[in-house]
Amino acid sequence: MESGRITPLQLFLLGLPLINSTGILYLPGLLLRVAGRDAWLAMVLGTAAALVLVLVLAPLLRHWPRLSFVQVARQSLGRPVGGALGVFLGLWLLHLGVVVLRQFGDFVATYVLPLTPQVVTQFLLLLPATWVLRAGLEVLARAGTMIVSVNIIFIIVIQALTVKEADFSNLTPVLENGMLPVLRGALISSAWFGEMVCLAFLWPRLTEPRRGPVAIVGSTLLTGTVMASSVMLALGVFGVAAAHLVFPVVNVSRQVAIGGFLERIEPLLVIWMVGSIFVKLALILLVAILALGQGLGLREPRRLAYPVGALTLVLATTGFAGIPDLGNWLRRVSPLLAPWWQLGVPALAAAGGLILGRRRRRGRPA
Amino acid sequence: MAARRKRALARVALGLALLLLLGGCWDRTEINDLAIIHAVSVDRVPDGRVRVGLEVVVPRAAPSPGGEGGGGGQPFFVVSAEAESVGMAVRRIQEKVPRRLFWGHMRALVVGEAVAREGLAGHLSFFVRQRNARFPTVIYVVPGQAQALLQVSTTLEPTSGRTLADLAQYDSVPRLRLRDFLVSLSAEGLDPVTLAARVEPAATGGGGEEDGRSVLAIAGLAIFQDDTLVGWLNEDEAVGLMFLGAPHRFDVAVLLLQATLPAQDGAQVSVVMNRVHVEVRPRRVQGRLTIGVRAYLEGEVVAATRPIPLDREQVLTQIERAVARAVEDRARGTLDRLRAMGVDPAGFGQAVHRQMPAVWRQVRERWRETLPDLPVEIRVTANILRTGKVQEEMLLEEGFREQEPR
Repeated sequence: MESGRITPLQLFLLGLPLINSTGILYLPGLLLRVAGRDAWLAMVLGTAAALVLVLVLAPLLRHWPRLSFVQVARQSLGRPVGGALGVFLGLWLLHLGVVVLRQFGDFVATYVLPLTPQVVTQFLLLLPATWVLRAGLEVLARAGTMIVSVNIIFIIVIQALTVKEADFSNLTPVLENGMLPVLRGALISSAWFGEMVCLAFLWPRLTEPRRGPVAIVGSTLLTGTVMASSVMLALGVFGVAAAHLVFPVVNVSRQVAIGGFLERIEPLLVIWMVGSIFVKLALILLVAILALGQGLGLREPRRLAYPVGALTLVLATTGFAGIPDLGNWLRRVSPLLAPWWQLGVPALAAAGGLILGRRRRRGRPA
Repeated sequence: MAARRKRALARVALGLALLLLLGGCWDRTEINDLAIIHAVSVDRVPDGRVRVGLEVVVPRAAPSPGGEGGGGGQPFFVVSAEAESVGMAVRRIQEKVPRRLFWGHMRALVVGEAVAREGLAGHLSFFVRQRNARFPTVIYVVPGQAQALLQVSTTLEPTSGRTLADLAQYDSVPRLRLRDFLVSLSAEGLDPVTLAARVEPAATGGGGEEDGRSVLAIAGLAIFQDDTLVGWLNEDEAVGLMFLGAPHRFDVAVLLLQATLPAQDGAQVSVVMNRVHVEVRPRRVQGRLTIGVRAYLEGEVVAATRPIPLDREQVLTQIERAVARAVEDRARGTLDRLRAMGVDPAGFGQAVHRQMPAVWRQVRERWRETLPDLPVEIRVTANILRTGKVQEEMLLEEGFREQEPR
């Protein structure tokens, strides 16, 4: 059985690339199309999804600090139901891993290596990610700490350099078309922020589980800030024309020209993306196999690492027809499906767990 | 133990093997396989097709930075082709160039008048989509044929692409990039403008032998209605556009204003601007939508045609008034031209959109019809802060005055 422990700080750091990787590439473009000038508001509202998740799950910590919510569901709702929830969550996470790998492949193909077959670039990202899966949570946390701390510096450098190019009066008038487009955008971004469910799953593996909620809320707020400011910068630099760009933030980084010598900083962004997506992919697949393992009651869930890796690669190369297809999924389909596994599964587990917890407490007063 | 060591070795070997891929997989490119493009021209040819010209850098002839000049010869050459679309023409050009065309260093896009008059959007699409193309590219419209600009043999900068990119820096027009064009095009109530350029002889007259050298020169601004060219502003009128509150980044430091002082026997002073701040505030005056333009500027006297006691406060006030009047006249002149063209490059509509969204919803549809008789109030405040290096006009000093025959 898995026994690795990580610190709350590590959990906090792992949460950053969870959304700030593929999210920074695709989400601004999607939100700008739906909510236009108010896309940054949609981003702010989207963070609520993660906060709701924490609110739902936090009470469980009191009763079962060392059990994940899938394990709680198995105890409280019974093996068949709880197990099914775990498998449901695991399969959706696997699908998310596929989407992430595909997003990575399409980004690399668009910006860096147009001639290289996607399966090659995807494989090169997936291979180390699978090794990390096999090695377990502690290794992922350490690799993540290293990569994410460097990435934070990159984020700050890129954003600071682009501020000069932005004209923030492009953000006015605010809420010209009312709240509806913002809410539609928030639905899309909440499907991204809901991925924080991966962190919530790892609570019981913390050295101090009770500090899990703080780590997640902190991670969410910082992520939300970076995402919202990225959208604001994109709007500041390109106005509403930003909505026509597939990767607005990449284009923003291309605008930087300081004093005629500091130009072409977009490689920084590509490095940041490759590192972050690596952490994100490994984290999602790790939680996927843990959820599958706990749902099915496997003793050695790590053994799923290679099969899951291979399946992810196959599905990622065959599952989508290209960026327009991927965009449709992200904009139209995923926002309606994501809440079921991101919020529905934890909510069911929490409901069952709380009822059982109360009953137990009454039976055996502490 | 041995098995373990073998496994470790195998891992290291695998890791090293991954290094092979760092070259870029299928996309490996060597710099000497690239044809680096500095400037692009797009022209209309009579049979409904477009001619695209590319200015390609010749690396061996280009002087290396800091070192000695290269092997001599022109550091660039121009290739062109004609086709139904920009993309197809570029394809044709690639057939004539033995290296892969590389767009990452494109500095300037030059468009011929005929193409611009038909609408630019369709032609820009290619450059916007190019993977390596960067939106800092400056965009120019040329009266006549654009390709002529690329073929000018430049003197100070190695290529016309570089020249065009830097030219606007020392002129009173804003440096307008492809990105600004796209931003204006997507904004509501703001028509795009681009720079205009032409070829001029480097030196004229003077009695010496003319060496026949030509230079590229800024020729004011090209004014668009949506993506279609409708007219031109000369450089003085372009300055007027700045005082009307156009949202582009004008470089005020090079802006020289001339003002006449009636109280000083019609002496003329030249004033350079240090800071210009323009606010556009739309409001309702007696139920009518009115644009209020409030310009505030700070300047410095750099020359006077006649001795003027610049240290006297009342003289400074006279200068400030005269400058303000000059600025207002210019802004009015530009406004009249824009009204005649029926366009809004100053972004009055955008100001309404941003500050009075509810009003904008009512006027948006017929904004263009409103433009010609939209009331615009212009108020200018000028502030003279410095008088250059000289406190008081030198010619006023005692020694000079005594020699004056009075």
